[in-house]
Amino acid sequence: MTRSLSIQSATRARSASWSISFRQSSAILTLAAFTSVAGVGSARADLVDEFLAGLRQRGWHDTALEYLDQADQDPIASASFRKNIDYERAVTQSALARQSPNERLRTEALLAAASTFQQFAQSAPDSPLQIQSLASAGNVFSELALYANNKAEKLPASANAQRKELYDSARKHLERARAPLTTLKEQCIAKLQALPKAAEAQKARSSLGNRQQLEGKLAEAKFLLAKLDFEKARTYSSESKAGKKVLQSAAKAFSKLYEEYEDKLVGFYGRFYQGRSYQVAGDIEKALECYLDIVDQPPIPNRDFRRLVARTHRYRAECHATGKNLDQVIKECSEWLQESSNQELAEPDWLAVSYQLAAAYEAKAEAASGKDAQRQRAEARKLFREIAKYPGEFQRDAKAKIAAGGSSRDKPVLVRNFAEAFDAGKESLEQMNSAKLAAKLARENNPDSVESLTEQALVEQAAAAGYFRQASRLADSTTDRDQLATARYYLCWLYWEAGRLDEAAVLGEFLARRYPENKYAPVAAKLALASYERLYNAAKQAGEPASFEAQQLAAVAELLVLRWPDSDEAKAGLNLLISIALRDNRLADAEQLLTRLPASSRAGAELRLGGALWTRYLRAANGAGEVGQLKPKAGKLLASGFEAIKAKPQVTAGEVTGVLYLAQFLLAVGEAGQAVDTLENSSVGPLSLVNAQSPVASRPEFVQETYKAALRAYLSTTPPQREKAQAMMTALEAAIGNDGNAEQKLISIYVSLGLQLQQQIRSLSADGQAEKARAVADSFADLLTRVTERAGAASSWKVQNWIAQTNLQLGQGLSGADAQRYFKQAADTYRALITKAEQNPKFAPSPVSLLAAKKQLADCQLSQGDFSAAFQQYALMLKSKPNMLELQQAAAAALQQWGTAEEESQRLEEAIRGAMPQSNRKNLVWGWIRISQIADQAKRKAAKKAGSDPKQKKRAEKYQDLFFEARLHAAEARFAAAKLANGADRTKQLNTARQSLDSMKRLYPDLGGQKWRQAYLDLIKQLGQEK
Amino acid sequence: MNPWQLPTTRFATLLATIACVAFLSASSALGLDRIRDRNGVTSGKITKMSALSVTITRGGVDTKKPVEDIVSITFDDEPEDLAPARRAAERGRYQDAIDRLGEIDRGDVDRKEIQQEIDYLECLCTAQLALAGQGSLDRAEGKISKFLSSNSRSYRVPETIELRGNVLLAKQDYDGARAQYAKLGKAPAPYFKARSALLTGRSLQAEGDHQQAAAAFDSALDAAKGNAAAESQQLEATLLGAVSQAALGDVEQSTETIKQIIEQSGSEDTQLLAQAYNALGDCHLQAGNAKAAKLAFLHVDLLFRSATAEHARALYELSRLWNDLGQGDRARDAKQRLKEEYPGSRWANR
Repeated sequence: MTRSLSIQSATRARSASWSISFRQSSAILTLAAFTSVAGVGSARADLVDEFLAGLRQRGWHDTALEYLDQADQDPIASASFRKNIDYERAVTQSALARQSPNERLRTEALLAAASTFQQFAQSAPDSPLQIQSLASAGNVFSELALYANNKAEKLPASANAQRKELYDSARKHLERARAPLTTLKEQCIAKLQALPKAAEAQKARSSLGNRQQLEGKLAEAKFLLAKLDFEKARTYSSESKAGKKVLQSAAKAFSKLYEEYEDKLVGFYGRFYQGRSYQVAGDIEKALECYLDIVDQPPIPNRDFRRLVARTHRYRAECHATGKNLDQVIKECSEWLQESSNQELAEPDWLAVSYQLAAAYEAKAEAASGKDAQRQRAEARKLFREIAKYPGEFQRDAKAKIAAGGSSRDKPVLVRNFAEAFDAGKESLEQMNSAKLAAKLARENNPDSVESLTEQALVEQAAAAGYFRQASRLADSTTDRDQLATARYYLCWLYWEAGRLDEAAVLGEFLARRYPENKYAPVAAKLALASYERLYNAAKQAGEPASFEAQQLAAVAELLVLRWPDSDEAKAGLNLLISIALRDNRLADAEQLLTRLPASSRAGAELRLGGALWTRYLRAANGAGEVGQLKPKAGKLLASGFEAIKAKPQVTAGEVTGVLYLAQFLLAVGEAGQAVDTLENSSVGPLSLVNAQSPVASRPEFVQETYKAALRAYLSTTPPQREKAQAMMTALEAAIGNDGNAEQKLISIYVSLGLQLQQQIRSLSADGQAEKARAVADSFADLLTRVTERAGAASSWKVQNWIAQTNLQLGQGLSGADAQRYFKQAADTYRALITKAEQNPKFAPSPVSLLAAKKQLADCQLSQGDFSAAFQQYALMLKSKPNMLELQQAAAAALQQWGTAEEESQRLEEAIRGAMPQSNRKNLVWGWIRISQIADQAKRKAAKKAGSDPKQKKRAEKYQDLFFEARLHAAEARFAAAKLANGADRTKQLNTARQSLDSMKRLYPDLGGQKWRQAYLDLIKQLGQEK
Repeated sequence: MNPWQLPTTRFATLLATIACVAFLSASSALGLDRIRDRNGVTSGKITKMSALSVTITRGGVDTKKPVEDIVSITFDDEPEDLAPARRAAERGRYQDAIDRLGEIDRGDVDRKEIQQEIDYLECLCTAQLALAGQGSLDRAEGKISKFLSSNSRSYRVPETIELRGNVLLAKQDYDGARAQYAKLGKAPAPYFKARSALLTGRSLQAEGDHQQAAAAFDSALDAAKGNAAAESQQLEATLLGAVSQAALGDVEQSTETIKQIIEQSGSEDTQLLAQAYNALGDCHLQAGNAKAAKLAFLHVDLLFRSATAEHARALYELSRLWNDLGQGDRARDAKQRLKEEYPGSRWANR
């Protein structure tokens, strides 16, 4: 185990050593070798620089970027600052990128920053920041290469393909870096040559300063170019030809640098990297020679130089260790550490030397025995303990080494007072953590030891709990109250870790209530909350009562909110309570809890609650009463939640679902434009996230519902966005797939959408918004076409009938050529339906369905102006169903329209008195008079039966309605006939019509009530005006 | 009592004392008093002092300096800690100034004007700290009252009256504050007419009466017109006028005006710049542009912290804006700094 850990440590150490970053080293060069170089742009020390520096110092690079986007609006931004905005933007972009935890986004942002640096350098050749910009571009690309190389080296041995990809990427970045750095070098040389000679420059201080700056940058460029090869070598195996070649090239370049800048820090760095190049290439002797030139220098109190010496000691130690010269490692490292200050010993470069020394002691101990081995182990352990104290490259390894060395206590510690118990508990806690870490690391390198390390962690965990329990018992009035609370907190955490939820919950709550001033109190409350939640869930799952746990949850959450209202723990508590309330369908409670969350933390809960109200509203059979209140409430919460999460960098799946609910809500209230905006919102819009294949928007149901909502929104906006709607249909079809009943599912979605759109067209038409209605109808037609094209659609009576009916209704809602197009489509579909039903009697669901289709075909023909065909169709149906009042009405209306449109008085007469006499001398088509008589009789009959029977009463009303309608149409037809006639015939017809209406007025003074009265009065007026 | 019209008898007595003390100091140390005003430094012996002017004599020639022109006076033989205390107060480091004043042994100070100067600086620093929420307003008011009642001939009287008005304003005693500002307006110099109108406008603004406030700022501008001493107040009056105009709905124009003021101000004019950036933040808030407002208030937080009252206000606005913009940790940071740095400020306790 020790061996494998050593190997791993060595690998880690090597990878970290590579990561002495370009930024670090270039900063060292810039600051130390040529101190005046840092002064670039220092003349711009105005307020705006100070402002920007302040934002950066706080790490608010996002705000700095926001500021730079509108800096030209800032009255204190000087003209010179405005010229450099792009440079400052690049600096900020790169700093912001480095803050990103997401590797892909970080890489993209760094590339963008490098590109901005390059653009600036190109567009501002005379700017004092131009050369800095080139250096920065080179550094950013190099940094990306470093990321890739470091990542590749951490991959498991088997991940060859991934490693190759990373190395390829690193090489690409290094090549990218070469261009700006080469330009930087060339520009520095050119600018230096253009400067006045040194003697003349002496006279002008500014010229001298400029020369120093340029010389500094030139040295930096040369160093960074040499380092590109050194980094490139990492992407090849050190044994490979390519690897050797680039290492040779790097060594040569660094050697040149050393010669050129022999007495300067940059020269020593050249020598150091020359040594590193030899070391990596396996030429240990040459490497040691290079390193000696650095460590053999007389003591120089320069901090940067001392760091370089420390770093050099580390690699010298590595070289000696490779040659098994452990005594030399111990000698050199010990001497160096002894002559270093305490402050230096805590610095990373010194910790690396300590680690080498510890590893050397450990290796010596392996080979030794007895007291020597014991002493060396103790030395190693002491050093590892020291290293483990400081975060950095070696902390993990040092902790693992400590754990791998086993517990330092073979026997339990006998504790006599609180302090001893507390210290023993903490020691065990640390041992437990180290063992856990070691187990984690061993999973990759030494699987055999995982079990024992895990076991060790458990033993230490139990021991720690025991000590802290003792500490609690041993506490007395002299015990520090805060330390006692801390001991109890550790115990609480250990209970939680061990799954002892009851104890963790009780102890956590106790701490939160009794020791609110202790720094762990809110965390303890959170542990209590989490424990009660698990207990609550367990009880629910087991079907047991969970009211106690629910009460405790509420109490702890209350406590959190009361004591630490601004803490994340309080928010977590309230959110948990809201979730439980929603799960239990206690919406009012959830609403109440929501108001207690700080406004800035409500977004998620608002979306969840809004979503719950919305789904409850949708499930409700009707929207009346209390349920009716759900809709506006849901909308308000969803909208508020949406506004708040817009600014969040990342959203959860639950929050995005809430946003989708908001889009659905907006569609339901007719705000299609807003629904589109919501769905397309670049950061949290469900459609944007689905398109970006975001993991939070990947559930198939979510994807389908998003496409449905988007489709409806695109079809319903003014004007409709037909291309986007088409794209949504394609996406929806792809999302639903083609297995099982996918086809029917899709058709059903389209039909349901169609019904919603029809409703919208009707509303628009009723509001007199014909243009808008037509626009929606056009986009609706796309949907119809799509449905028609579906393979399963042709075989479905229901779908075909819906298509036909929808076309007919669309035509009825429009006029002129627009209408005719839809009537024709409707008629064609009905004809196809009827033909198919006649060929296959089982196709139509029932004879009545077929009859209805035929009637609607005739309606279409009538609407198309094909009166003859329409009438023939009605008559044909009447032959089998002569008493069907609906058909008689349609036939009479057809005759009336026919007569009026084509000025055929015969047809008008037939509309009034009937047509097509049969063998029994009765007309097959009754005409309006006969219809009115039949309706009157039926009305009287029903009225007689009505009494308290509401059905009969309704029936009587229906027939009465028909009676007035038929009499009105009869009078209208008579009036139309009169207008076609001349002379006496005309007078006679007019009189007949007048008499008929007079008689109606006399007999029925209200003229059929609200529905018919106005129509009658209008007709009477028209007749009165006719001479 | 009108501080500009003191009883003749008392006036004469005070002058006599000064002349006597001045004479004694001059003869003993051969030093000189130095008046720093907008035009430079004048040395000599102060022979007369009132709330309106200071007369300095050299070689038998009297020079009368109007109070509004005077920046500061260094007195002959003043304690060595007085000058650093004065400088600290001028730079807004009020606690440092108080500490320095505490070093002075009052028993060694015979000259009345020096005692007045020490008392005034104590008043000023105590009040400014209280105004920034770092002390008690009542205590500050007490000190100011005491100063005014016993030093009515000090050239510091006008500044102290203004200070008293400011303390009352901070206590939301708007009428009381205006009564003090009105006293300033009774002085004959256009400078004080303008100052009085400007401060009155500020109190009306604080009370929410922007219509009246705008009118008062217009009066201030009228009064300042053509008067060299008063002209320095034009920027402030224009700025405050823009704030009220914005509150009355003319946000766009006000924003432009404020930006122009910022452009015209020198970077050392911290107080005015802080006020202007807070005003700019207000305009952006009214226009519903929270992000731009945040950047404006951030200018005050990062650049003009020495304008303590404005800084407290900016921190308050930032704590709200960061919250609204979903940056809870930054909101907490602003809130915490507000509470730590200005515990007694009305912004910290909102």
